[in-house]
Amino acid sequence: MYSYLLGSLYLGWALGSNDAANVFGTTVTSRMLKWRTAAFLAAAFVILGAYLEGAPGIETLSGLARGQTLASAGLLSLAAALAVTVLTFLKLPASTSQAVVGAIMGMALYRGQTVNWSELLKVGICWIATPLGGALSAALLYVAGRALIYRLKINMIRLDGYIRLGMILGGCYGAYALGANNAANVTGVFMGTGLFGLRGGAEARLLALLAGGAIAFGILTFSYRVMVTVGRSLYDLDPFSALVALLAHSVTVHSLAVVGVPVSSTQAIIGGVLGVVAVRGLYKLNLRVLVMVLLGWIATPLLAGLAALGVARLLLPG
Amino acid sequence: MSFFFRKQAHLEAGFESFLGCIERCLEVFLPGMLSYLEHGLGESFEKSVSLAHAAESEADDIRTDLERTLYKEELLPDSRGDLLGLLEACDRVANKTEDVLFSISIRRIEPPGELREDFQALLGKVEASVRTLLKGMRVFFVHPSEVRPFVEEVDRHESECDHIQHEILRKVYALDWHLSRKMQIDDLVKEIGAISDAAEGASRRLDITAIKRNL
Repeated sequence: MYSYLLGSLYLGWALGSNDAANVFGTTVTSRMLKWRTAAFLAAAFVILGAYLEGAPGIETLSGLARGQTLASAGLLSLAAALAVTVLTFLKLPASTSQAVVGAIMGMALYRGQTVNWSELLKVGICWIATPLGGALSAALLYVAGRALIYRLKINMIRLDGYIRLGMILGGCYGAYALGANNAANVTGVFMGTGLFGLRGGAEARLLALLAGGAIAFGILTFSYRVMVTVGRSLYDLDPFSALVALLAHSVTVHSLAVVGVPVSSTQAIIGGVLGVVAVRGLYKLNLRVLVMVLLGWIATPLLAGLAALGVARLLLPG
Repeated sequence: MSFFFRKQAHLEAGFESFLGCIERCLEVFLPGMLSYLEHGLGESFEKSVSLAHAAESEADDIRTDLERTLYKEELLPDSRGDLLGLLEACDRVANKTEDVLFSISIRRIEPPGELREDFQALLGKVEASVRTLLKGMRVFFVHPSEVRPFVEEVDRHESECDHIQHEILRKVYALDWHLSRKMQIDDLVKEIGAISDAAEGASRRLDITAIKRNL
C-alpha cells in the first residue's frame, strides 16, 4: 500500500536536491557556510516549515479534484515526478508545483473528476504572483535596506557581518518557507485517501511531515552539486543584493504558503533577482535563463498532465 | 549583538589603526625631510629615519594581523580580496616614505641647497595626495558612493607632483653640479614622486572597490 508513495517521495527528494540551491546556494558558493552545515540547517527548517505550516497547501491541492484513490494519487505523483525528471534532463527548469497541478488535471480528465475551477484559478493567479511578488518585494526591500544603511552609516566591515548573518538566517527562513509551501507538492494528493487511517488536520500534518522528510533527504544527499553549479550560474549579484533576493524569495514563498498555494521557489528567487536588477538599473541576469523559465512554465503542467493521462491509461485499474 | 560582531569590531579598529600608522609615517617623513633640506644630514634627520622605520614596522605588524583575521573567514570572500588589495596598496605608500629617508641616510645625499623651495613644494603635494587618500579611505568604509571626489583629488595632486618633479629635474641638469650629484638628486626626486604615485595607485584601487561596494 505504501508503495503508492514512491513517486511522491522521489518528487520530494528531487525537490530537496534542486531547490536547496535557491536558499543556501550563494551562502555555500561564496564559502560563508560549509555545504554540510547549510544542508543540515536547510533540512531541519524544511521539516519544521512543512510540519507547522504545510497543511493549508495540502488542503488546496487535495481540493483541486476531490476523490483521489490511493492508486490515482500514487500514479499522478509518479506522472509529476516523471515530467520533472524529463524536463530536468532537458535542462528546462521544472516547477514541482506546476507538475503536480498539471498531473492532477490530467488524472481528473481521465477519471472524469470534477475540477474545482475557483481553486484552480487561485493557484494560477498565485503562479503569476510568485515572480511578480518576488520582484516587488525585492525592489522594496532593496530600497528600504539601502536607505537604512546610508542613514545608520554602517561601517562596511560591520555591514559584511550583518549580510553574512542575514544570509544564514535568511537561508533558514527560506528553507522554512520552502518546507511550508512545497510540502503539498510531495504528498498533498494523498489527502483524503485514508493512507494512514487518519482524517482531517492529523492526516494533513502527517503528510506534511512525510513530505518535509523527503525534501530534507534530497537536501542532505544530493544538493551539493546543484548548489555549486546552478547556484553560481543562475545569478551573479553582490552580497547585499543576493541577501535581498533571498529574503524576497522567502517572504513570497512563505506568504503563498499561508494562502495555501504551492508555488515554484525558483520562480520566486528569479523574481527577486529581477527586482534587485530593476532597482539598481543593472543588467546581470542571463536572458537565456529567463526564456528557459518561461518555457518550463508552459511545458511543465502540460507534460505532467499528459504523463498522468498516459500512466492512468496504462496502469490505473478499472 | 556585539558578541556576534566582535571580530568585525576588531577589524574596524585594526583598519583605523593601520590608517593611523600611515598617517604617522607621513608625519615623521615630512619633518624629517624639512630638517634634511634645512640642516642636512644630522642627528635630527637620523632620528626621523628611526621613527619612520618604527612607524612603518608598526604598519606592517597591523597589516599582518589584519590579513590573518581576514583570512580566517571573518568577511565575505569578495570583500576580503578587496580589502587585502587596499591594505597592500596603502602599505606601499608607507614603504615609499621610509625608502626616501633611508636612501638619503645610506647614500649620504647632500641637500639640494638652492632647490630647497622646489623640494618643499614637491613635499607639499606629496603630503596632500597621501592625506587625501587617507580621507578617501575613511569615507569608503561608511559611504563608498562618496569616494570619487577624493580619488579625483589624489589624481590632481599626483599630476601636480609630476609637474614639479619635471621642473626640478630641468633645474638640476641646468646647474653647475657634478654629474654624480645631479644623478643622486634625480633619484631622490623620483623617489619622493613615487610616494604620490603609490597614493594614486591606492586611490585607483579604492575607486574600483568603492564601485563594487556601491549599493
